[in-house]
Amino acid sequence: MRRVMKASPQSIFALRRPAFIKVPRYLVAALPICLAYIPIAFAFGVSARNLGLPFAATAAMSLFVYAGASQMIAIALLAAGQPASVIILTTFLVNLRMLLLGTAIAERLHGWTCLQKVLFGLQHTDETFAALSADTSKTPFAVHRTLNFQTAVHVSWLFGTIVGYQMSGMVLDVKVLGLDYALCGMLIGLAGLMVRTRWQLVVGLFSASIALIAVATGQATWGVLAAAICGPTLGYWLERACQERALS
Amino acid sequence: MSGTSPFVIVAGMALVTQIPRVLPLLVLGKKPLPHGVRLWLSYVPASIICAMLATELFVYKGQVSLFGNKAFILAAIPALFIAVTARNILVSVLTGLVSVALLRLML
Repeated sequence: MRRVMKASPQSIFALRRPAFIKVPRYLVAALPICLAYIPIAFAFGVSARNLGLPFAATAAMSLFVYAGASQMIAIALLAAGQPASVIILTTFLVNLRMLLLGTAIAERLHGWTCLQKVLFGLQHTDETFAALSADTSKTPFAVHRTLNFQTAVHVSWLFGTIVGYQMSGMVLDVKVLGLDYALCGMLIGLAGLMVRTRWQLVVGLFSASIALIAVATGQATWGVLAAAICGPTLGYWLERACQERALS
Repeated sequence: MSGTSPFVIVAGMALVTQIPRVLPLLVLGKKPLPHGVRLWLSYVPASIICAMLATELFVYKGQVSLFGNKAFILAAIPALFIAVTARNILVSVLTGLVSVALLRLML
C-alpha cells in the first residue's frame, strides 16, 4: 500500500524567481546557504584573529578544511592550549558523518568523472547535502550547475572568514538585521521541503530529541552524528514494519 | 596556543575532513546499493536537518532550553508555515530574518 503523502521531486534549481532577475539558477539556489554561512564564517574570522591565528592559516582553514563546526571547535581547543593531535582527532570524529552523507548522495553522481567527484566532495557540506537532497527524483545531478552551486557557497564561506578577520576590531552586531537567524531559517526551509511523509516527521522529531539529549548530557559533539545513525534506523524499521503489516 | 605550527594543524584537519567527504563518492555509486541500504539512507536528510534545527532553536548558551531563545523559537512559527506552504528555501529564510528582527524590537 502506498502512503497518501508522497515526496515529490523538487530541485533547488527549480526555485521560482522573478522574471526580471537574470542571475544564474545556481546562484539563486546558493543564496539562502550563503546568507547563513557569511555570518558564521564572519564569527569564525573574528575569533581566529582574537586568538592570534595568522591570516593565511585562517583563510587556509576556510578554504581547505571548510567545516563550520570543526573550525569553531579548533579555535576553542587552540584557545584552551590543546595539542594538535587532539584538535585533528576531534575534527575527524566530528566529520565522520560526511561518510554517511557521501554514501547517501554517491549514486546521484553517476556518470561524473573522478575529478568532478573529487571537486564535489571537497565542497560538500551538511547544508549543500540537505539542499541537493531536496531533489528526490533519483536522476544524476547536472555536473556544472551542481559544482557551480557548491563553489558559490564555498566562496561565501571564504568571503565571510576574510571579512570577519579583517574587521574583527570593529564592533558590528549581526543581530540587528536578524542575520544570526539565517542558518535557522535555512534549516526550516529545508525541513519544509524534506519532511513530507508521516515517517519522515517521526524520524525528524526522534532525531531532534537525540541531538538535544546529547547536548543535555554534555555530549554535544556527538549529537548530529548519533541522530544521523539512530534516526534512519528508526525510519527503516517503521517502513519495513508497515510494509510487512500491509502484506500480511 | 600550542607549539605546533598553525599550518600543520590546518593541513591535518584538511586531511581528516576531506577523506570522509571524497572517499564514498569515488568508491560507491558505480552500482546501486541494496534496497534496504537505500531505504535507510533515504531518511538521512530529514534526520540531519531536524537534528541541526533542534540544536539551533533549543540550545541557548550551551544548555538545552525549550523556551530560552524566545525570538528564535517564535520566529520559527511563521518561517515553518511559509516553508511548508511555499516550499521555497529563500522565502523561508527571509521570513525568518524579518520575524526575528521584528520580535527583537517587540520583546
